[in-house]
Formats: sequence, structure tokens, C-alpha cells
Amino acid sequence: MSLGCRRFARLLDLSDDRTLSERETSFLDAHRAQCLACRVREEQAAQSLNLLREATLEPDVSDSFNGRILRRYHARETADGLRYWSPALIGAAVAGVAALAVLQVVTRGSSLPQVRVPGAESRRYDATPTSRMLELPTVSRDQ
Amino acid sequence: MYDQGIVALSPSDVAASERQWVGRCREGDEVAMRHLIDRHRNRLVRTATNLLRDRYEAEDVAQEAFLKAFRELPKLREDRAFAGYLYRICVRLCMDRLRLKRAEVAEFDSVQPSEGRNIENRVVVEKLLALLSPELRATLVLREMEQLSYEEVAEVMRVPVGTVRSRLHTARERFRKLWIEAVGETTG
Repeated sequence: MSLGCRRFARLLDLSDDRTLSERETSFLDAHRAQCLACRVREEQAAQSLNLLREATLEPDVSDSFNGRILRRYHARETADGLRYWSPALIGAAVAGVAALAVLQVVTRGSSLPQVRVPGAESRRYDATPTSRMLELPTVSRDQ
Repeated sequence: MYDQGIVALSPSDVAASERQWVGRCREGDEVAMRHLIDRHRNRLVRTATNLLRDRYEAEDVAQEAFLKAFRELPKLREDRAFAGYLYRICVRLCMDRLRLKRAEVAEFDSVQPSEGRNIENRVVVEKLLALLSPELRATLVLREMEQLSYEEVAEVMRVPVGTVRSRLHTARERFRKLWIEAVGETTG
């Protein structure tokens, strides 16, 4: 590709982005007239781009489009809410289990079987009044 | 950047209205969400369809774009920038999909036939587009099919205008060569 051909290609690209100056336009015209390869390339480029533009799709959006977005939005919000609260929920569950375990231990502790070790049992006194224990033997007057 | 249905309003009216709806949407107002979806869906689905060449996948991507935009609304600094923001998300999601299915061959049944169009040409275009890289393909489609300006393409793709120019040049040249090859194959 010669220098002139390269400039031709660059200016063609530029013409899509901005208006070319008079000098640039006249260069394009002059080069186009004298270079068959550039003329053919320009023609091919135009045809291929036309083909591309003609293949533009204009789809209709389905009726359920909005509904689906909102459903997905709410589902994600719920999931996010669960994710946000899950550490608190897990903490509460663990605390609950721990509290239950403590309660269990406390209530079972009072109903444990009593182990009797010889000599270590507690002495129980009868519920006799002290005055009776201190009661002196009675001596009859007859004696 | 807006739907044709609201062109009758002046740009400042459109911007004010858009700001209002986005503000309401930020507060979780479902009516505002529906309104924004109605306003932008046609354009989004159209662009996604032309990029992906598959209407159903395009709808899916457009929905994903709306969801992402709604979820990330708090991050958006200016409410009036919503339309561009949404469009950018959609194009980016399309490019992600294109990268994923780059190796796949375009299939005939993904073309949506309609009246007065040459289906054969569409299939050819689809196959040729599939041979371009996602960046070149997106640049070409946004410019030639969606008729965005160079600046708009640059903004959507987050690249300098110079990059858009060079990508367009490469894309057009590659598309031309591929088309010549395809035509040569079918005629020869």
C-alpha cells in the first residue's frame, strides 16, 4: 500500500467522523480517479457496511418484560435481606440452644440420685422437743 | 441516548423528569421502577439484540442491566446520568456474554426473521460478526447499527475517542475482508 493509498484510507475513515476540508476532499477525488485498488476497496467497504446496517434488528419487547424484572428484583431483595440478617439469626439460634442447655442442667441437678457415703451421711434428729431430751429421770417419793 | 417516545420534550424537561423518577426509584418506589423500565427498555433490548444477535438472550441481559442499575442506584452520584449508566451496564454485560461464547459458532435459529429483510444476509452478517473480537464487534455495532457518535461509543465503552477510531478502522477493514471471503465462498 502506497503512502497515497494509506492517506486515502485514513481520510475515508475520518469522513465518517467529521466533515473533511476542501483540500482533503479534493485529494480523495484525485486519488479515487487514479487508483483502481482504492476504488475497489472503497466500494467493497461501502457494500459490506450497507449489508451490516440492513441486518439491524428491531425486536419487540415481550409483554412479561417488566414483570420479570420486578419479580427478580424482589427475589434478590429477599435473598439480600436473609443474607443480611443471617448472622443475627444464627447468633440468636446459638444463644437459644445454649440457654436451653443451661436450663436442662439446672433442672436435672435438683433431681440427681443421692449417694450415701458411710460415715458421711448427715445426721437427722427427730423432731423431739429439746425439753424432752433434757428430761431428768423422775424419782418417786416412795423411794 | 433516550427513547424516541420522549423526544418531544425539551432536553431539560427530560432531564428533570428523569431525575425525579430516579429519585423515587432510589427510595424503592415500584411505580418509578416501572416507569424507568418502560422508558429505556426498547433501546436496551434493541442494542443487546444487535450485539448478541439473539432476542431472548438480549432480553435477559437487558433485565440483568436494569436489576444491576436499580441495585447500584445509591452509588450513582447524579440521577440524570441514569440513562447512560444503564446503557453502559447493558453493553458491558453483552460484551461479557460475547467473550463467553466467542468460540461458539453462530446458529441459524438465533436470527429473528421479519418482513422485508433478507434472512440470508442476516445470517452472513451474524457469522461475520462472530469472527470479530468482542471489542471490535461492539464498536462496529454501536457505530453502524446503533448510530452512536464516536464520543458516545467512547463513553459507553470507557475508552478514549482515539481508541474508538482505531478500533472502527480495524473492525471495518476486517469485516470487509471477511465479507469478501464469504462472498467468494458462496459464488465460487
